[in-house]
Amino acid sequence: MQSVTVDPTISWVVWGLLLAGTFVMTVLGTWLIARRWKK
Amino acid sequence: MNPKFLNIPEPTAGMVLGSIIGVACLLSIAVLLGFLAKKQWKSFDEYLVGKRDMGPWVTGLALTGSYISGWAFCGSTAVVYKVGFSGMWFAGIWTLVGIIPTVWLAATKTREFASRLGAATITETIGRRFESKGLQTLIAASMLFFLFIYSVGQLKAAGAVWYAVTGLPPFWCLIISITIAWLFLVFGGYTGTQWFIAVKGGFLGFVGLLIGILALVHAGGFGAISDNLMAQKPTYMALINPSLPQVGVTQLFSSMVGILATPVIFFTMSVGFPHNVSRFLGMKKLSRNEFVLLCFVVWLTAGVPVMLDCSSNGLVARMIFGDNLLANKQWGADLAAPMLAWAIGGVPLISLYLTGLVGAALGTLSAMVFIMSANVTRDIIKLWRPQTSDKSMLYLGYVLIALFLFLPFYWTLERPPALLAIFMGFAAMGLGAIFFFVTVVSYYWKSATKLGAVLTVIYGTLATLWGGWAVLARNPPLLGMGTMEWILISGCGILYFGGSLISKPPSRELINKLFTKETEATASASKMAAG
Repeated sequence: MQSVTVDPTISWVVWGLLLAGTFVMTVLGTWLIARRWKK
Repeated sequence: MNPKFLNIPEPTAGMVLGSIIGVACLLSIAVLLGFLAKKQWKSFDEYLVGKRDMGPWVTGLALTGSYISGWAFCGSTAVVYKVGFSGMWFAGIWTLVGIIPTVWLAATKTREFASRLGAATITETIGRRFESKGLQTLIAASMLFFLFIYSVGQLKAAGAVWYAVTGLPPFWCLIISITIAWLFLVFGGYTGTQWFIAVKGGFLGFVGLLIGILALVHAGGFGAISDNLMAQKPTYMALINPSLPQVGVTQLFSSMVGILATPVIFFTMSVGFPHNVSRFLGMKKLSRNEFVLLCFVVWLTAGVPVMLDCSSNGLVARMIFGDNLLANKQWGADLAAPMLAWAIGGVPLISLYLTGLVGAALGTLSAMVFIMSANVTRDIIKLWRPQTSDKSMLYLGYVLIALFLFLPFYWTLERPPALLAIFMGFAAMGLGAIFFFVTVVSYYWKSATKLGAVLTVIYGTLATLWGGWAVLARNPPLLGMGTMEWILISGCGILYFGGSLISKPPSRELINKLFTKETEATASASKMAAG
């Protein structure tokens, strides 16, 4: 049977990056749309 | 049962009482909002779309409520509980990749297009956008098909948790759910549905956040979760589960083909889901600050809670219960989320969770069934027989709502889907792939034509049916869901753009009406009136 090497720290770091990345995406995207909002 | 881990508890008097009080409050709120909303509509049009005067709080919370379904609140935790961390690729870790762009791309455009075209449903908006009754009918039929499949999962989640907490048999769980939904839809119409889903969205956001944080605290933090699961089975902490095939049949949470397909699925299904986009039909014209507020409300109530729900919650459930939940052959992994609530917060938290989940099921189901009913009354019968009275349409709508609630109820009892998340994921893929192009891209691309839209709907529907056979029914499967998503989305895209480019664009008059900025359109209209 194939042995598996797992590093849980990497898993949590990737998870954290996803959370942070989607937050930054939300803020940036909303800001970009809002600054072009027609009066 | 493994004695090292907790077992599924027997329902206690406290659990039954807490659940009944919680659901009774929910039902009371639903009925109250339904009655209040009854005063808001006087015509069939207002029943279907309200007065287009809802602000960013109601709209944002309603979008959250529509998006956080029984699947998001229950099934996504189940997937992670079952397969480990790698399940987050299939579950809702990509929630924000879908839900926030839905606001960016669809909020103001849906409101503008529907208002300018005098449309009361998404289907009618698209039909008039392409000046085609045939397309409107085709879309209504396709939407009906997909929403029917999708509605099955909503009942399963609510039934499973009701059973787990109260001990009542599934029949009674489900019949109570659909009776509540029917009463509410008949009274409330669009406005009542929107209000109820908004209340539910806010409540779910709060409960989801509470459970997510308490679960992490209860577990002792990320390190403790890792240590425990590594001791159980290291692959539970792997980002890609090596026990699943990485070549050939591409599952969504194993191969890179599947993993890359998942954000595309979540993006298209959120932006394309008619019951999500419909939340903007009744929205008022927003100022810039109101638009920012709308984005913030959705991020706060949908994004963060669901991201915890679909990742760490499943791992903590695995940590507490081991394999013991899978010993329940009927509901299995679907019990992960409610049992987690019980384990970390006792009777109060499981009562809150159950109330939230019944609310999630009722709210999302209501939104879908409301659209399914309007697909027949407004988008097919009224379209081809305009002289049909509004009263007849309303009464027929009430009957159809009952029918569309009953059919998934029956199907759920007779043949429960094997794994809630994957089953619903398939209908979601079809809906998303088709309506991302046909609805949202059509808001922005002037040259989109009826031919492109028709080809997309036909291909997307047939490809999804074929995919259901090739992926789920055939033994061994011909291909995996990951590959299937790429076949779906690329085919829909090629036919939508290709079909549009080779056919005649919509009339100049319609393009001017829809794609001219509102201020210019008003100035132009004033000039014409003055001239």
